[in-house]
Amino acid sequence: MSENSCFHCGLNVAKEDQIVFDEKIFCCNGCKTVYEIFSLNDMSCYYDFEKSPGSTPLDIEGKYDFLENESIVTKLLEFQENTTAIVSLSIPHIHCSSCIWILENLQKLQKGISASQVNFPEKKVRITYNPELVSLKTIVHLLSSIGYEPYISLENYETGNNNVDRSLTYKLGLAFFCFGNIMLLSFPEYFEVKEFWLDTYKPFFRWLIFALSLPSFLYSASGYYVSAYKSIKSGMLNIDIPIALGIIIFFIRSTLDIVMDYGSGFFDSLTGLIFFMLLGKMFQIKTYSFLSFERDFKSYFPIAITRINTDFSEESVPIYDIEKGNRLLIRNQELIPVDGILISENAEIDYSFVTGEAIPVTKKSGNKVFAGGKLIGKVIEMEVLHSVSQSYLTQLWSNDVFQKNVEQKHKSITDRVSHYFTPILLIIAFLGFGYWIFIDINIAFNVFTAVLIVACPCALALTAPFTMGNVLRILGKKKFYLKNALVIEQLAKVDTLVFDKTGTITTNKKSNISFEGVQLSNDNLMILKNVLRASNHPLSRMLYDFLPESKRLKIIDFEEITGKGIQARILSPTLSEGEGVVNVKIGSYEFVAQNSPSLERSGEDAPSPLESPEASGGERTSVHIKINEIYLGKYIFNNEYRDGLSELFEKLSVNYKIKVLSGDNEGERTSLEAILPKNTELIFNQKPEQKLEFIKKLQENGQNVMMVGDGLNDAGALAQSNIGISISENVNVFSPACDAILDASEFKNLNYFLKLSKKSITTIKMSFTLSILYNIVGLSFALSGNLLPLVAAIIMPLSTVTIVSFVTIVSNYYSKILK
Amino acid sequence: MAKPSKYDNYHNLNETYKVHLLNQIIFMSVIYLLIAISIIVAVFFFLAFIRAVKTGQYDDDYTPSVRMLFDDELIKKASDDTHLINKNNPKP
Repeated sequence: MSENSCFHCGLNVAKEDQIVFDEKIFCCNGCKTVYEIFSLNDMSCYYDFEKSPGSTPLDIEGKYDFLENESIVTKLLEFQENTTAIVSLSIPHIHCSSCIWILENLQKLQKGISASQVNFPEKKVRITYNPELVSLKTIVHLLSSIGYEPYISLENYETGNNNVDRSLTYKLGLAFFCFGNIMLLSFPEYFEVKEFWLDTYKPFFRWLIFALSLPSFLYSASGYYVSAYKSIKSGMLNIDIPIALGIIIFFIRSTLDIVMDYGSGFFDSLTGLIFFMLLGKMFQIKTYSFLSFERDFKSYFPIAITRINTDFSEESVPIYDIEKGNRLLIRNQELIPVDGILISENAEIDYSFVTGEAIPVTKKSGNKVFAGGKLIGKVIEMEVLHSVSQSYLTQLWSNDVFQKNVEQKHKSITDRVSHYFTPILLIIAFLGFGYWIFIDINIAFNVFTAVLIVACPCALALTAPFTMGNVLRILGKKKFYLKNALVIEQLAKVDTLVFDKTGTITTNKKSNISFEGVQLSNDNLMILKNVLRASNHPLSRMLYDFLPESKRLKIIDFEEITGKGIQARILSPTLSEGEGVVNVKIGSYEFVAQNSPSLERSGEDAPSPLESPEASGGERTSVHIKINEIYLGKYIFNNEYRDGLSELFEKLSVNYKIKVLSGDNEGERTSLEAILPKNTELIFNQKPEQKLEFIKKLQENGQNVMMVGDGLNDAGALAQSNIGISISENVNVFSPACDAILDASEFKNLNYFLKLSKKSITTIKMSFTLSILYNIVGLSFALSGNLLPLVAAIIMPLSTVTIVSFVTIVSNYYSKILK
Repeated sequence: MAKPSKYDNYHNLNETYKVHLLNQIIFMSVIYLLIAISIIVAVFFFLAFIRAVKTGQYDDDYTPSVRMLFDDELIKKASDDTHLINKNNPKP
């Protein structure tokens, strides 16, 4: 740990801000308090597992008052009885072993909690407690006070217990059970020793094997029959048809072999085949359980909100119960759930979930506020205009694209190959049958079944799952999380890339700040830095970080006026104490320019943030400065483009058409054109529906569109596009429904991901060639009429093993050499 | 064709061969028993697997691996402690 970082949260703190307690450095009182709680309860070994594992507890006063409402609590609980209740809370901060330890020892911090269990991959904690001794609200407050604030959203309110589908695990387990036992029981027959007791008990072994193969044949393989039946019905020849056909022929032929005493049958290969194919299916499924690809507005919205009744009493109500005309109370950091009119004097609203714009918008009394914004600062009151489902933002979800997402609209590469494979296979089988029927009817029958058995496209069917599964994992390690393996194929097919601007190609973490006005003296910079130190406003923090380090000055008087700015009196750095007091005003235009009649006011109603997220109606966000009644100029906050943006676009423009869609006005056209390649199309002033329509039009022209976006306003376009990628600064928390989630820090590697997806398709094609070679060898055995069970038992696992290792090695190789 | 002949002239065989054949017959029924046992054991493990899946043991394959490394860390300072709010549940 470096000397100057907080013992609890690891944040770097300047010397003068440090709080020293118990010989340890803390960055703030919050962190210190958490340390105190832990050390008082002998739990300080929280800090032994991991260095500075904590997070600063946030102020949550009043935020969880809705947990006093019984009916809401009941909806959240998994189980409830008189003295026991179980609740699962999702806690995004869970990230290390210290977190697991502290959360599983909650019973030592709070009476009434009897057990708590962490599910690390899902970032959830399941708490069993006694509702008579402790309320859910107390538990949530306890968690928040130690820096593990749970994330409770409208989504929790609706879904009860979600049933996990474990049928594939059962099928795989059963298939392995059958396969293993049959292998053991078939061994004696492989050696064909003409021994007396073996001969006598052959029927016993064979019928036992038959019995053991039944569960595998009937249950484990059932998915293939269903899928084959469906694909025949819809007239599409997918890979499951030859597989299902192969399995059934396998079974019938082997059963006949036993009944007629021709031989031992192929039950070992049959069950092996089923097992390996299910294994491939399993491997292809890689779920990132802490991510969700199906999010809609519900996971952003709170469960309940405070309503002010006509008699001025406050009450927590579920947000579905909000009606037009209600009065709501919104606290600091709370989300505005519905459209409405601001009643309080002014408010700062952060629309970064919606638009990706980091800088808050200021609203005045009487202005419209839109659902989806987060309040920053003082408590406000607002009057409701629309209910939740009719609000501007949520209406987007009534669009058709959100209804039909289950539909499979594309054919996979395996299905396309099997489109040719299946007919060719049948032709070969019938040709073999036709040839042998003139020589020996028994052999003809044998050949026909042997062809279908040996060509059963095991290797073919395994190629795609193992390649995709492997690439999925490689990408996951590089923080590009795909919803499923099919996305890789789609990525390889993309020819048009559409980017959102704000929050996607710009970052909302840092801003590019420039100054316009009179050159500021060093003294003035020092004064500004010191005044800004005391302010918590996001713009102040950004500006503070931007200004150069300086020595401390004494602030005499400080006042922060929400929605306006800061007013302060400070000791001048040049003059000695007494005379040298400087008046400083930092803030909005109206506020700073108040007493300078030469500057005209600009007080028009700011437009909807969805239409134009620009904070001040077209102009960039700026902070104005006045020192000692002299207006000095303004700091302008420009969007900072992500690292490596122009290089990335340069590389991408070679192979793809690139378009940039933006909800903003054309203000930044020139600066964008300067950075981006010439053939990039820039489209401005796009509303969420227009973005969706734009993608639709491109698709109607036959283009495969990949949309890269971030905020809720891109949700429609992400759903409509062939591949929707959502960029997220913090993958654990916010991302709209999409096919893939990309960690913002990896944005510059987008070209690499696209290349790798193309190479994985190449890998699949190479492997197909390999497996067809195997099929030719197998078929030559089959057509000559002497496919022994032993040969089948060797060829099948051999081809499986080589194919699986081939695709794994090749895809790993590509992931290493590509840059 | 070899099968029945061995038994047909059972009485004409010499004593050592008789013992040999008897051994084989006993050995064969032992095979029945052994295979029956092996299948039962396998089925037992299979059922245990099914139960494990059903109770969700495969849902989270990371946390238990961390959890098992925790001792009851509280003990090392517990001798002089008066702050423990709830000591009656030492379950890890």
